[in-house]
Amino acid sequence: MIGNFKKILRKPANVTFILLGLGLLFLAFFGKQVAPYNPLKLDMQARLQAPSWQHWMGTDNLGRDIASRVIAATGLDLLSCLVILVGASVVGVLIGLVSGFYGGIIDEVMMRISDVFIAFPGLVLALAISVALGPNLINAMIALVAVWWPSYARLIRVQALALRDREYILAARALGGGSGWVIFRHILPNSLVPLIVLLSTDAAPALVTATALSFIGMGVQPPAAEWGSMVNQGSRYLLDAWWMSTFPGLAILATVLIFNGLVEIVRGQLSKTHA
Amino acid sequence: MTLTFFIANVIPSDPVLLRLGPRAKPDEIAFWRHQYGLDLPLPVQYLKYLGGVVQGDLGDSILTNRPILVDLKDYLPGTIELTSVSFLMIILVGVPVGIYASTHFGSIFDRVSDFLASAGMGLPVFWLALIMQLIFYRALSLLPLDSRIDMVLGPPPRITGMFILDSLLASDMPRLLSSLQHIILPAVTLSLASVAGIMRQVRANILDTLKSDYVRTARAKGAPERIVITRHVLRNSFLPVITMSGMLLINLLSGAFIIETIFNWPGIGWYTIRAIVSSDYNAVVSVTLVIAVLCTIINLLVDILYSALDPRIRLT
Repeated sequence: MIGNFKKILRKPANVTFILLGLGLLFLAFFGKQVAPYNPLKLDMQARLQAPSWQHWMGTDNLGRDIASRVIAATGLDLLSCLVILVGASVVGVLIGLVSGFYGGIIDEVMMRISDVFIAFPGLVLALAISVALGPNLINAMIALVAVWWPSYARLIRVQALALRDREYILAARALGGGSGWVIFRHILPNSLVPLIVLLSTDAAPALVTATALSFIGMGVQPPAAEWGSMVNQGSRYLLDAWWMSTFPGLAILATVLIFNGLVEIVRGQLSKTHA
Repeated sequence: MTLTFFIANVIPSDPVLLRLGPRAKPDEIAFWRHQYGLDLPLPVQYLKYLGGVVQGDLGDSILTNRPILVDLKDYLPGTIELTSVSFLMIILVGVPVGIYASTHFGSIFDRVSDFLASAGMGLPVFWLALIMQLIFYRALSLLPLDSRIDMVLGPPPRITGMFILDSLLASDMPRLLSSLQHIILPAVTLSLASVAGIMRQVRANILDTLKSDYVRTARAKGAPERIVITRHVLRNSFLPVITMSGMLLINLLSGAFIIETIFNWPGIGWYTIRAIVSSDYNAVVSVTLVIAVLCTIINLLVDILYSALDPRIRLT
């Protein structure tokens, strides 16, 4: 294991991404302390200032320092992404396990339901759900988990279906292992690798969709600092104050690129052990 | 459909209140609620809605005061035009690049395009749209900021509702040029996010096919590489691209929502966002319904096309 790690660190590209990823985590946890200004503090004298030495990314229409807000938003956005992925995978895995293992009508019903969700364009569905529930962060999270769970359910279901008739499962059950035990002890661990691959591929789209929802106004509400809603606020001043939208968007892009780099490392490792 | 109706009716905010304003008197509110049937119990509203849909009546938009069907007819062509142009752009760029990258596997071209692709796949569309506006309108003054056509010119005589097509049919050069100019930025922005996916898929499929037995046989037989590629590899790699096209269209639809809002492009995405902001439930529900129907049709077409093209599937 440690040997693998050393091999990873030998490539400069990997080291860069790992460092950047750690930097991201640092900002997520300690952003508020590190930020030069208070992200929520208004300063009407300093409205709409272009980037300068005092305000590296300029100020917004209420005089708040954009750099501080971008940094402060890191935690919120990364957390949203995590919540969506964890939520979707937990829900999806549970449904997929039950569906695949027990089969029959439960399977039919679950798959029809997931078909409905999959056929629909993700953003539109998430939008519709969060409109119905009300525009705040928690409802946006619920909406996004609702959009994302089907692919996990299907993945795990396929695994469960494939594995449930294998000899060692039958043996385990013959020895008296109850279904629950078999599911958790045998099927789940064997499904872990594809699950991780799916999670890593989904991380970036989850982040982008969460910020897109906030951009439309359905997620985080102002004055909280969040990249998507900052881009939205900036769009009204776009032609005069380009910095308001540009920097939060760059933060999203940078995070996505870092995710992609980290994902490559993870996938590289997995394909070696799971080839 | 049931899903969309129940979603819409769980909305806590009251559209009538929003429309009449905060000074509305209680009896005015009651009158309008009755007009729109909002005071009926939920199951009854649902049945009325179902009945209406079957007859083609989707209800009236609380915002525009017109039947939603009319609203949709007005705004749907805009989205169709935008989505079609984007789709064409994606296929015309993504497919050739994918083919070239796969046949020149490992080259600089391949690696650069792969890198650009992974960057492109994570781009937040809404941000990209704003940046494009900044660059091409504000900084370079090359392209117009928004809308479908120059306001001074106005739209061409309506035949299909798609300005480019209508201007062509009416041989109206100024309007044709203006529509083309106005569609470039929105379409390109919409395409950028998805072109990467298609390119990668094409490349992956071709690389897979290149490894297969019949390709080896063809080469062993001495067939020139060009024939191997065009006759065998390309034809067989294309099936997954068809399935991907279906997904692509659906993704373009959701991307269109954002693009239309930013570029002030009056299509159903723009209409829906406006409806959401004004709590116009009927409109939101109806649009969701229309989109659901569109998605189902697209998926069906993909299935049909797939089975038509792959004789193996027809036999099963």
